[in-house]
Parts: sequence; C-alpha cells; structure tokens
Amino acid sequence: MTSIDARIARILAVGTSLAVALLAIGSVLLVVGGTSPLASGWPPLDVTSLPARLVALEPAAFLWLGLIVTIATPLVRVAASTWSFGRAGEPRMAALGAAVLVVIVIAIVAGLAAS
Amino acid sequence: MIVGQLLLLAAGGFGAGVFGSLLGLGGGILIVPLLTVGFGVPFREAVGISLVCVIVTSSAAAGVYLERHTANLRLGMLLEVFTATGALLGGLVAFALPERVLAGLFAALLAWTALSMLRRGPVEAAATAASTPIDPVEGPGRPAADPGDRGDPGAASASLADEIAGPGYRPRRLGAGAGGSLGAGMLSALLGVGGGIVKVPLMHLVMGVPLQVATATSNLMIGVTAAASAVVYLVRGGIDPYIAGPTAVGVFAGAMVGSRLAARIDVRILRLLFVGVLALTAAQMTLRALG
Repeated sequence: MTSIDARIARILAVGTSLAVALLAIGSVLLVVGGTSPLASGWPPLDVTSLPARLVALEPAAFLWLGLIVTIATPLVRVAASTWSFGRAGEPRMAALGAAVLVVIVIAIVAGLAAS
Repeated sequence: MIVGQLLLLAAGGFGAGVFGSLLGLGGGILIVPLLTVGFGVPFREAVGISLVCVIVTSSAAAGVYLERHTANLRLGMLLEVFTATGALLGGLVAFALPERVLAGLFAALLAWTALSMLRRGPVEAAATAASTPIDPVEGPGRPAADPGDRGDPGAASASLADEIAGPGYRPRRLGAGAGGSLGAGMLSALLGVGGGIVKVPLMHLVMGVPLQVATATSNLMIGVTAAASAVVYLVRGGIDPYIAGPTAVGVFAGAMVGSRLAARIDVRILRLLFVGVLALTAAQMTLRALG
C-alpha cells in the first residue's frame, strides 16, 4: 500500500470510528434516559450549545456530533488526498481532488440557497 | 421496549451494512425500505437517515479496501469529479421532473444492467475480471497497451490511464467512464441512492476494471456524493438523530464484516448477488413508477 493510500485509510478509519463511537454513546444514553428512538420529534441541531450539552451528557448532543463527524469524514478524505498528491508531486491527481472539493462546495452552497 | 426498538434498528442496519459492503452499494436501497416499511418512518426522513448510513458504509469499507490494496484511490478521484458534478446537476433539477418518470427510467436502467451481467458467461466474466492483458515485453508490473483504445477519446490521455492503472489492469474507455459517472451522480441525487448500483457495472463492464476493485472503488466514491446531499438534510433538520444513531452503528458493524468477507467470496457469487439486488431494486422502482 502506498503511503497516500495508508494515510487516507487511517483518516477514514479514525473518522468513522470517532463518529460511530459518538453515535453509540448517544444511543446508550437514549436508553439510559428512557427515550424511545422511535419517539416523534427530536431536538434541533444547535452547534453553539453543543459543547455544553455534551458536558451535560445529553443524548442528542452526542448523536448530532456523531452525524457531523460522519458527514465530514469523506470530505476530509478528499481534502487530505488532494494535499497528499500535491506534496507527492502528482499535480494531475491533486487537481482532480481540488476539482471534487470545488464541486462539493458549489453543491453545498446551492443546497443551502435552495433551502 | 426501548432497548428492543434500539436493537431492532441496529440489527436492520447490520444486515444492510453487510450486504451493501459486499456489493459496493451504500445500502440506501435496503435502508429506506427497512425504515419506511419496517418502522413507519416518513420517506423523506428515511432518505436523510439512509444518506448518513451510506456514508458510514462507504467510509468504513473503503478504509479496509485501501489497506487490502483493493480500492483504486486514483481511479476513484478521477470518477468522483464526474459523479460529484452529476450529483450537483441532479440536485438542481430534482424537483423539475416527476418522480414517477424518474423511477420508471431507473427501473429500466437497472433491468438492462442486470440482463447485461447475466448474459456474460462465467468464463467471459472471469476473463473480464482478470482485466487488461499484461504486456510480456514490459513485464507483469506494466499494463499492456489496449488496441481497443484506438479511436476512444480516453486513449488520447494514455498517461492518465497509466496513472490510474492498478496491478494487472489498466482502465479503458475513460471517456465513457466519465460520461457514465456523470449519469451515475445525477441518478444518485435524483433517486436518493448511493450510486454504486450504476458505478460498479460501469467500471467493471465498460472500463474493464476487475469486479472486486470496482466494488471497492465504488465504496470509496459513494461517501463523497452522499455527503454533499446529507449536509443539506442536516441543515434543514431532515435527519432524525434518534433513529440515525442506532441504525448507523449497526451499518458500521455490518460494513466491517462485509468488507472482510468480500476478499474470500468467489467473483461469480458476488456477480449473482449483485444481479439479484439489481432485480429487486428494479421491481421496487417499477412499483414507485406505477404509483
């Protein structure tokens, strides 16, 4: 395995493990707190209050953070690949990675604008 | 009661994770019906949760595939440019087309792909899986030039094909692969699936990539496309964290098991499993098209 592949594999493994750990903790806290996962309605995502809610061991806080880490992991993978290929002297691969990032940013902005 | 509900969600996610990982699918095809039919979750919420699970499947399996030399990162990055662009375009026109028309078109596409894979005999399939011949002059580590590339727009960038080549194979028909990836991205955004169901046969049948490499590389690519859509769902409050949590944990465990099983499974069995999933999904999409 090349060093780039190894680095990317590590990023994916760490990001996924962290996300799943947060989601698992949140799920266990749901049970401990007596909240049904199929209950109608859920607390909204509020990033600013997330740290305080994590300290308070609020299940939704761990679940929201887990979801954020989950979604961010493949995007970090693309960014890391781009950076690694650039450093390894593979400009064409780095340009492809940068192009993917640009498209993702445009997609996110377009999605937010539509909402 | 609460523990039982949580375990059921996790078990459903586990099954979807194993199957999705083995077949290069994100698992969305299995998770959406599981949540809507099995747990009565509204369709839109099921799609949001499914996107999260698709990312977990992709990230978990792709890491293992990279460690095992199966996923081709460079090929994935090349095709991701087009799948992501297709997803962007698909997202912009998603609300302009009737869903029944889209579902009917997709059902036809799936049925055609399943038939194409079934028509290929075991011997031919094995030859294709072995992929591009090795040049005896240059040695086993050097992919041979493919005469069939002449006249192909992708052949003009031979060095790019070499750059994304893997051990014993050299992807061909890059132009067709790019166009197909664009379409796969559009279908993914329009129909709410990871897109592996299109990308795997595209890489395997059209580009001559070995099936297991195509499966692994598809897994790598799915997460990026799904992440772009999932951000929008997250911001708009379309993801239920209470259901997404246990389901995603189950999917993660299933994907880890599936990616380890994949290296030990015969390609022909994998192909039959894939055809079966294509047929089931085609039937599901046909029902949606018929209302």
